[in-house]
Amino acid sequence: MRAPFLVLTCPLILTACGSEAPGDDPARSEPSASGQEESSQGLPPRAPGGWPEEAAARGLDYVNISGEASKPTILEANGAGVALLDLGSDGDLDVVFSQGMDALEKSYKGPGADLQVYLNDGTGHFEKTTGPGVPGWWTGLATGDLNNDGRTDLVAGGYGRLEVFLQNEEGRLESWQDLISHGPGERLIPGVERYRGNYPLWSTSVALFDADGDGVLDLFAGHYLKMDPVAPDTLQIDDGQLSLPCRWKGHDVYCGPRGLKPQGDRIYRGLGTGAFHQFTAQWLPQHVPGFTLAVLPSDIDGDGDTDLMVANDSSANLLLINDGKGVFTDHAYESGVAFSADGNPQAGMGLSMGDVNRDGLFDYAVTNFSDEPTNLYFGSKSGFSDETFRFGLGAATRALLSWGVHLEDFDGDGWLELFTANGHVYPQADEDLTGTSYAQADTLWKLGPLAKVDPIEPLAQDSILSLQRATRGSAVGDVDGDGRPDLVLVYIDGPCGLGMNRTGDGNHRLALKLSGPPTSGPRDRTRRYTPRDAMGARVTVVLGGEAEPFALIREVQTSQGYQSASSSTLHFGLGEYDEYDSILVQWPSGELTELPGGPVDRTLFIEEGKGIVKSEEWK
Amino acid sequence: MTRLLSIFLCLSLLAGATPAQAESRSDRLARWSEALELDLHADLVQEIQAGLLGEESFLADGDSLALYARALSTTGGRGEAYRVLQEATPTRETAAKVELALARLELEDDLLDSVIRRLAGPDASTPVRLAEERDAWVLLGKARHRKGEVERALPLLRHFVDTWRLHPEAPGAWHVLAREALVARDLQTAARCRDRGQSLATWHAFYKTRRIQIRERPEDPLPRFGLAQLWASVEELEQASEAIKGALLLDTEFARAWALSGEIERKLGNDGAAVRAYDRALQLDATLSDARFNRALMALARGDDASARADLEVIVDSPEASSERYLGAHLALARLLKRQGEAELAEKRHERYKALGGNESL
Repeated sequence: MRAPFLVLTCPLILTACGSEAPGDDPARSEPSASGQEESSQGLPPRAPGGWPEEAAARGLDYVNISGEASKPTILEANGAGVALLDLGSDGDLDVVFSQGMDALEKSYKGPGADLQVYLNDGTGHFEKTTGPGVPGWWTGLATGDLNNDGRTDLVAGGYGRLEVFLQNEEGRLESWQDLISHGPGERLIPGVERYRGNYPLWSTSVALFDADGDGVLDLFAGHYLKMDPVAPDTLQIDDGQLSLPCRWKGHDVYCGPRGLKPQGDRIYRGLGTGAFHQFTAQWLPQHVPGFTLAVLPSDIDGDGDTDLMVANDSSANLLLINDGKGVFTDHAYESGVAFSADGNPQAGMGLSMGDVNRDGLFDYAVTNFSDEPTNLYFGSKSGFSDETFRFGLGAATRALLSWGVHLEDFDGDGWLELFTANGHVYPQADEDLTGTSYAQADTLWKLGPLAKVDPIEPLAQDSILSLQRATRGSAVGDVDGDGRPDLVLVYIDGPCGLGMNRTGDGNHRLALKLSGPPTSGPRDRTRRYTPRDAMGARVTVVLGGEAEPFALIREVQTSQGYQSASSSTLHFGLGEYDEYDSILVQWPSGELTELPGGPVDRTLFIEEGKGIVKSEEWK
Repeated sequence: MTRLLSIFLCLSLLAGATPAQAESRSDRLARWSEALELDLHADLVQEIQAGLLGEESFLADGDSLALYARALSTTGGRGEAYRVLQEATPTRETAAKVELALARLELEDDLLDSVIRRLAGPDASTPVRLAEERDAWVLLGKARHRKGEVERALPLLRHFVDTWRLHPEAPGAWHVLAREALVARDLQTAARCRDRGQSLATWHAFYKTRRIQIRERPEDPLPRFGLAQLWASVEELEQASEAIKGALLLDTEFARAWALSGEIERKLGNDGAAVRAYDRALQLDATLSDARFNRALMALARGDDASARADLEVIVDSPEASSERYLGAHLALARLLKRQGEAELAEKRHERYKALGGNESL
């Protein structure tokens, strides 16, 4: 019996729920304007502040390869992801990119691509290092501490690949387990002979989270569709009465996803050693396959376990609610996040969450295809309310095809902004009269207490908000240690982007790095545990004093956006407040840590059972 | 040769890809509407900009301007779409279409207050201006709903789906009704609205697919056959009849199409045409048991027991005889035999009927 409603509960600090923001909205970091179209015209090449793109200058020379420029198949259009994680436990964020090949047939004929790894010197400058040496056509990346040794590990999805990489003591990623070990043709190893009629298991976004509360990370692998690399559908799908040309706005384009067959998602139970067992039958018993492109774990119903939002391309999104033991049931329809406002399945590409209106409930942003809006769903006491049109996102995002997405307080004013990574899938979008274009500038909007989204305009030609690219994956993290979350971007078929956050100079901020207790000995199955990397922990920061208290909430989750993993550090923008009133951490184990007020503009390291173990002021 | 000629004529009439010189206004509007539904906005913009833009009759035709504006708005010419509509001087008969097209642009631009100002009626008894226009109800309903005016939106959307049940935007309206019923915890209504919306959305998806296929392969009777099936499934029999005739023009020996034609004509009350279609279907393919059963039932209805008995006996002795689908044939034959005084045979047939799961008396 399915519950008719998903009841969202307000987190612990009830006094903070629904409270108003203090004062007026602080000045924007970059001036807003009415439109995005003329963004780079008349701008200086560089300017102080804003979002300068500094990838090459900082040593990130990754160049994405994703098949042929004409995009004859859907695999070649989907591009790659990026992960931010600390390799070598030196406290900074290093970067791993997934990578494809320059032609579809190389996916099975070889040579395959390796993951691309860049090490940070602590100042936000990078140097490429040797990858793990596993060939594939790589797609989605997920990060987390799989064996609770205090080091962040990686799971990489791909076209016919799903591989676990553990970080060793030297900070290198080593192949640990190939999760596609059997099945007719599911595994695709470059260089291994292949025959037509077999479909590789195509992983897109993957996510690490603790499904069953045992303190060990589990894995959700989103899968896309059946595409035979030896004989892919081109120009037309199916035969006879069902046949249809593969066409978009009158132009011949690659086939799919409509008309092709979706592949079911899978879930794997972590064993705590870095190894996984597939648990799909047990934990996703009523799973309906869609064309999955994104997955976002979070405790969306506030009951202490981790649920999953799944964005599906051209089919209904899923909201998989956890029963606390790891068994998931879809409640997307009754919660109002399955379809568009008009009841149509949309081309869900990317996912993010955050408390946009500061009511103590998480909200979702879902990116979609061109001619479909980026959706903004506000959490409510009974499911979600669709705020897309009231915020003006219908008009603002219509021409955009968006992938990576982040709800983050980039400028530190205490309100979340919405970032979307944009770029069309069809090169034919550049033909006349399509109403859109292949290359698109990425976009950033202010949300917060505003009645309508307010676009943040670029300050200079080198801004990531100016550059006309076709972005796919994106990840958020403070790469230069200045307390401001930056953006790493994967531009398809080109050099990557690194948007350095130079916004919000006058605002105060706080970053929190959480960790669970070190583990030893056997686990008591009647108890819940916190993973070592604190995945799933929820933090409430209270501000505003007694007069105007309000709360900011975040949850430790690394999987967000599209095929990417962001930093696990939580960033809070505090605006004018130079101290916080209190911090409450709800650990996945059920333990609570309440910390009294303190100074800001620093990173606090908080460990379950110990409180603040380190406080590091920013440079 | 005759068949080739008929195919040529049929293609000319049905392909719909090239506007004929003598195309009527209504045909042109229908063709343009279909082009928009099939995502061929660019074709429409190019056609209009190539010749019609300077014509006075075009500029005074609100229906044409509205379609042009819709095409412009999805091909990057949103500002131009507004300009065309705002500067239009349509005839009185077509002025409403211009206003509705403006309302649609405003809805797409999230200008919800503008839509409400434009389309809201003066009082509760007249909730909608331009009430005779179906789009007025759905556009105002959506605008109110998106603005959070749920109580005022729902009656508009209910009226819309009840009155224009096959409108392309009806599935969306059903979705809103289902969602709001869920919020009100009226689970029964929610399930009903959800099912209606989803089945209608599926219908529209097939409808679009069939029309794309017809454009792609105008010589192929199969998509037209599928289209006729779709129209028949929603009891739009005139449309179904037109579609199946199109299929039969392309292939006069398409047995299943003749059978469907018989079914459509029967439901339209054209008994003679129905029987002729069934006859032709069974001539071409004697295994079409549905056609045979329906022909038998029609014969029974008009008192032609001999024809009915002949068909029913073929059915009950066919390989499909044990299918639940033809249970009624066993009963009909048993009752016919009884009426004809063949009690023993009637009893035997009735026993078979009961053995197959029937429970009606002889």
